[in-house]
Amino acid sequence: MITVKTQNLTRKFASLIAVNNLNLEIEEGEIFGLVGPDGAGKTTTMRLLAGILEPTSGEGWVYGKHISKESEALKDNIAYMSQRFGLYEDLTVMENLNFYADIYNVSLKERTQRIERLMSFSGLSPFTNRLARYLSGGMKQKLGLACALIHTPKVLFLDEPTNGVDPVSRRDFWQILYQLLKEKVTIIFSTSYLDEAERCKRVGLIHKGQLLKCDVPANIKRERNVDTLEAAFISIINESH
Amino acid sequence: MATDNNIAVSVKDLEKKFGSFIAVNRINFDVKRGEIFGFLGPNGAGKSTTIKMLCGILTPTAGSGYVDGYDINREQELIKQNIGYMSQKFSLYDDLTVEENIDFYSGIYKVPPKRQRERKEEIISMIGIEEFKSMFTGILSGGLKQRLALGCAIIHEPKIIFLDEPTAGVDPIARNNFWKLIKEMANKGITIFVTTHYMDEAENCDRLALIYQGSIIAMDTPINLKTQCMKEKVLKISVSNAEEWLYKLDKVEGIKESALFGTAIHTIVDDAVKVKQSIKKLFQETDIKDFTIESIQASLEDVFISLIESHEKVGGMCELK
Repeated sequence: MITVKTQNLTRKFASLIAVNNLNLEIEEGEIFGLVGPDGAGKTTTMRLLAGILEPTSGEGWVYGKHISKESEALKDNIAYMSQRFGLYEDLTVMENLNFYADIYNVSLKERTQRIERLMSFSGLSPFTNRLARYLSGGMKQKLGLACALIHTPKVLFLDEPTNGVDPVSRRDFWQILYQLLKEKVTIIFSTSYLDEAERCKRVGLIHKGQLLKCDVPANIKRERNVDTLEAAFISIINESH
Repeated sequence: MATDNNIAVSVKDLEKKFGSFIAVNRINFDVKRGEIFGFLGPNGAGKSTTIKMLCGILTPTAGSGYVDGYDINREQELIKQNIGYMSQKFSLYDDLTVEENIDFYSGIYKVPPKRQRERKEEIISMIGIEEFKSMFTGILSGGLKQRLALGCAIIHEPKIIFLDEPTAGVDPIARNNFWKLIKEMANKGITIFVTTHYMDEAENCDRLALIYQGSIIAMDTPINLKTQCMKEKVLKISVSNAEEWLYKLDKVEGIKESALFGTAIHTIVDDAVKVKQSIKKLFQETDIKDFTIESIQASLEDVFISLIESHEKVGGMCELK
């Protein structure tokens, strides 16, 4: 089943074409990596797909809902975690979770069970009453993810979630994402770290708003005859100039 | 006073306590001139505390150290004047132009007035920022800011440069260009001391030290670390529907951790031969014929996670076989 599909999706900001005729299909339960230099259009793509930003032209569907005509209904099925995690620093871990549960109308009955599950799954249990401000970068990231998952979304958008997070916490974070794959959650992930992109089932390379390449990492490396995605992408981008 | 002229940084039993907390626990290392030396470790491991002691910002509670021949306990001001330092925050003035930022640092670091103009041209051409030199710094991309910050940090031609997570949040192309610059500088004999979280970046270093809970738990070249420092083995399993097999493999005895890499699974195991057999058996039982299992080289990240885990259990330092 295809959970994310776009047809000639385009977004302009005045004369700048941030996303240019994007055509993309992502399968249910896939980890898809969106990679590219700063300003390539990764965040704009994520925001379009999450129904936060209106396209200038073109279409897109996420879990069967149209990204602009049904953007409210779409939000029930998705979660979007930005680079800043969207946490309230002066609320505790538990208060942040409850706040997001309120926003997403999670019933009180379901809530207790879900919070308990997210806490154990993210390893946050020992920190229930700690203010978000006093969590380490890695713990903040996990809390951000737990908040994003409070309404059990089917599609998860993560915008550079591991920036500035250390290797040990990053490893934990990936293990949490694998748990989600087990439940067939589709994960769309943007990163500027290509060693991390090697973990994705497929990666799309965006540059200046255009999707230059979209394939499994092994194929991309083979085609360019290099060992790393980083080397492959630098060669693809240099060629496009 | 360190007398060996080939050693740029040398520390002996260096320690820093904050109250009863030991942030840096009697560490020892030497960095040679022209070496790119990487300092890695999780948050809170002691990386920044060490760098601050080496840069003359913090005074050690015990031990000794020399940076470019200056004593870190007694000559902190001389150290500050003679080293270059760049942090992830870049410390540039957004409302000054590129040239004005360079002039500003030229003044701070007391570059002789006669030399200032020439040095500015050198820096601008070295960091490749010619066409942006009269722009306000605030509107530059992350990659350009990073190069400018490096340029400002070396305006006084230091022989040692400390880079504290210099490429956090900078894109791959910019990062690649940045490292080309760093390598050029090292080739000219400048010593680079760099901290990072990113393993692809660590691969650019001549030698790496892994610091954890205040202690150095491994120190060697990237290749030696990958081939000699990890007692577990890494297996790459290629099979269709790898996502589904990821969980089924968790039940195989001897698999410590599995992760998806593209369409394959990487697993970390103690006994590669035994686990290979068990997985083969599992595949055969479920009538899967199309699969491959091969031993692959561990990544630096695998090695570091493994070293940290074994340090938690037994302590000590990685012993090369």
